[in-house]
Amino acid sequence: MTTRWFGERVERREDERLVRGGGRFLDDAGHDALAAAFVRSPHAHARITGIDVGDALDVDGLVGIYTWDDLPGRLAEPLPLLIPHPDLTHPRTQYALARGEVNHVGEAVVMVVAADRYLAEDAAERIVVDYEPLPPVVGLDAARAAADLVHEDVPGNVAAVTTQELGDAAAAIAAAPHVLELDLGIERSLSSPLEGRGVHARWDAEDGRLRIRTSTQTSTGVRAAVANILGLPDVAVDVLTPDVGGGFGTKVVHPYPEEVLVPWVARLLGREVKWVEDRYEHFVSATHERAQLHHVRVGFDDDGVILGLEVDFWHDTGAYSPYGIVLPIITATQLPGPYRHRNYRVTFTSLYTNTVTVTPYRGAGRPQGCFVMERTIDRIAGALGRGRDEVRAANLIRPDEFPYDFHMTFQDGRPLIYDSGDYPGLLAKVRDLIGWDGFAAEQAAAASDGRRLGIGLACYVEGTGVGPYEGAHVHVETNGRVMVATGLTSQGQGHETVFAQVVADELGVDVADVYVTTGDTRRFPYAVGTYASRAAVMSGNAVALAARAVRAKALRIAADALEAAPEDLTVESGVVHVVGTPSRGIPLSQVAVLSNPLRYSFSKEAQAATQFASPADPDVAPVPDGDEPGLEARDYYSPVRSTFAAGMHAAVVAVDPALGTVEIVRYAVVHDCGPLINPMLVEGQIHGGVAQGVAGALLERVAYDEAGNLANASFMDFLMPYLSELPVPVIDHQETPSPLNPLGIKGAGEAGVIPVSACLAAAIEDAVGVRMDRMPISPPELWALLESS
Amino acid sequence: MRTTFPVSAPPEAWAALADPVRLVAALPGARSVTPAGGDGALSVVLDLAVASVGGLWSGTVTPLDADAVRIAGSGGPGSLDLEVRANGDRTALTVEGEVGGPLATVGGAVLAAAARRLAEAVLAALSSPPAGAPAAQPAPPRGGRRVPGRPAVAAAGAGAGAVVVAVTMVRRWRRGPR
Repeated sequence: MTTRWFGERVERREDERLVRGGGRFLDDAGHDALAAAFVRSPHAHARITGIDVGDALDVDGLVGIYTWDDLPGRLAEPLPLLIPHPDLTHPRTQYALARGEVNHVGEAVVMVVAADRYLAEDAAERIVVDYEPLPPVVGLDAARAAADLVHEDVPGNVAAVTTQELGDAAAAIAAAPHVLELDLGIERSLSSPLEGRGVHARWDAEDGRLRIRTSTQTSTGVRAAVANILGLPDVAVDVLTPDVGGGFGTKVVHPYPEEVLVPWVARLLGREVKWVEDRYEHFVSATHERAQLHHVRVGFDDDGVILGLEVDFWHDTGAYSPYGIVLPIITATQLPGPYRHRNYRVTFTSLYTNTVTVTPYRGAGRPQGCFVMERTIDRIAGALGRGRDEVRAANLIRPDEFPYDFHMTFQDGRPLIYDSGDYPGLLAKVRDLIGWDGFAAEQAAAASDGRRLGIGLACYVEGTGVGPYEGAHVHVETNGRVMVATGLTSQGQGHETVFAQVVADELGVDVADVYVTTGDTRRFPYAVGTYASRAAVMSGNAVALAARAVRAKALRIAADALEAAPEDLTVESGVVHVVGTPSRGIPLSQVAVLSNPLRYSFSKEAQAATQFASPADPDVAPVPDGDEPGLEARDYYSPVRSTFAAGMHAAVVAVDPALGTVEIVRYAVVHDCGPLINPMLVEGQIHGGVAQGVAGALLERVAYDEAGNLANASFMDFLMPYLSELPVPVIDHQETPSPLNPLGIKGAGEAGVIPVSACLAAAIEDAVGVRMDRMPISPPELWALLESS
Repeated sequence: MRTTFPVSAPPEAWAALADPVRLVAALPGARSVTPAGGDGALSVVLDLAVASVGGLWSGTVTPLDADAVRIAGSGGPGSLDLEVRANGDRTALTVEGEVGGPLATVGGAVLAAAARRLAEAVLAALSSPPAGAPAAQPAPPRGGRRVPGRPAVAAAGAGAGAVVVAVTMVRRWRRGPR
């Protein structure tokens, strides 16, 4: 009668709280806190020649105004370079407040603190900053031309150049019977979580402790950085992540200027201080992603088998490079997709521009890589007059070829080796799901009705569950509650549910008895963060390992009590009993009592653990060497390398050539993230990912003008889709377990977004017969393309 | 750490800075200005307010030479130990020294702006002929914080020499929280 929770569509534990308005988001804390507001640069590139705050003094409730000159010690230095890399020859990070120069519209120049946000904004409005404008570098073309420089000591605006190569691509292409060259581009976008960033800090002078609440994807990262910058002991800084209304990558950056300034000023003033990002601030100061230009040379044979591939691409890193070159590395190493490559060379150049800094946004370099690879395959098929599915099939890595080693280095510094998968299986499923084989007839029938239908297909492989590690603590309390803590954070994924499912199975308890806490450094101080589709893999396995240790301890203690051998015991529904004899057992709550020898009882049940309760071996200490009191354990999961999930999307679209509009007629997703902990949650991730992917393909883009003004920095102009613009994808799963972790799972968080631009570009191209080399595509752009073709 | 700003006042205004009666009338928030010792030093007590920091402050203003005074003292708003020096042709003031306590938390730009504003107010008040020497009472606020008994720096009816300058003393507050 063992209930297995893993694999069940367990309803989300967090939803009752969230849908009833019981969520506690950043802005729900600190009602009486002072408020911070920021004066931000209106120039893309300028020298600061003066700051006059005189008029702001007249604002009631003004508490303080701070510029770079006020910042002490390390806070006056550039913010940390989060991910250094040997090829990042010219890293640049921003100051918490601009020091004499601004490098993008929105860069923070002055912080104002006042009694409330209204007053802080009033005061900020009265501050006059004098600028001497400098020539702005906007867009990749300007950055490459380097007529002007973002940072005067960075020649050519080049932050980094990197090459990786497998085999000899140039020679292979030279010898290939067919060669194609393509130029492909993806534009800039941003995460746009429903809840923006925010920080609330409280300095407790009596205890000498700083408590920071922040809407982040890495509470331990914030803690380490803030403690270091402010010169506080790590143990004096607590970072709590409240409910977070979405992150999608941008909140993994840390510390954002506000994330260290607000704690600093809270300590300086001895007052609670809070800052909550408004939507304009999100557009101009939370990080962006995606803009890249790519040049491809590919050599292939008569069957479409790729013989050699060379890709040169240019990555827009924005004004600064705190995240190093992780994004272009991901593009470079995920671009090969599910295909066999013998000769592949990729070279990227990461370039500074006077625009908001670029760091990962859900998908993180993969949508661009997928777009390049999939467009290339479609072009090969077109050149040979072969089916697009057929050319893909000819290149897919076969299931018997795993582990498949690319002899390259992945974004985590570990070897790029695909651990497992079944790509032909995925292709078969997605063809069925979308109706690939019958589509030609459908297309022809539609054409006779004047409808222009097209079908597209795109495949991807996603490295997930990157290290270095995550950990977990599992504690069975004497009341029977199972308290689980893991250090990484949650932004709505449903960790409270899936980690509870894993622990419930490992411990043999009901999922309702498991309580999960994430992102609180008081509960678990060692962690990395939630990004790169890693939470389920990393913390899922960590909670499993910690729960196994607790189970082993429970069996040992129960064996004593039951006078049985531990190997004869099992745990079911929270009761440890002799296998086959459910009546001979004790509940885990009582095992928890026995695990902690007591002098003082605190309940009737606890009397059993006191010193006169039962005869004991006089020669054995109550807590023997090597043992610890308490039914609890801590363990860590640290993989040798990432595990690689995969999937394929297919879409049928209808294009209206008169309007340039694209209607998604149907959308199919086949996804393999190994065994599903909770299919409902994986499907939710896919739905959300496809939504973001469609938005990025057809609607959303960050539009800078030539002067570096963000021209659409509001939801009036930045076209976030409504549900009415989004398809409800049909979904099928394939479960290929990973050999790399105890649960065999792979990440699912980002997958949905990755191939959408590639898939829709292919479908539109199929519908209208015009090459789709750049995404996103708006109706006016598509209309213009059709007119000019 | 120092701040310098331009000032403009006739010679009689500068001369009046040494007159306790004129000064107490000109200095926003002044409770009293009295001679202290025989070297021209003045004892000053005033309600001092900068941003949300405010309270009673007392200290001394001691001439250092023909162009400079030292202002030192403490109170609820914090401690000041500043040198205020006019340039040779008295077209600029430089304030330099230490600021401690709550005043040190408002930010350097605020201290600089408050100092300048106070100096300008005092010198402007002293530039007009004395008008029957109003007693030592706070001038009506003109747009600063409207907290009774705490005239805003911005308010300031008249200006006094040293103290004014004193407040002016905007030394970049010490780096680091305390």
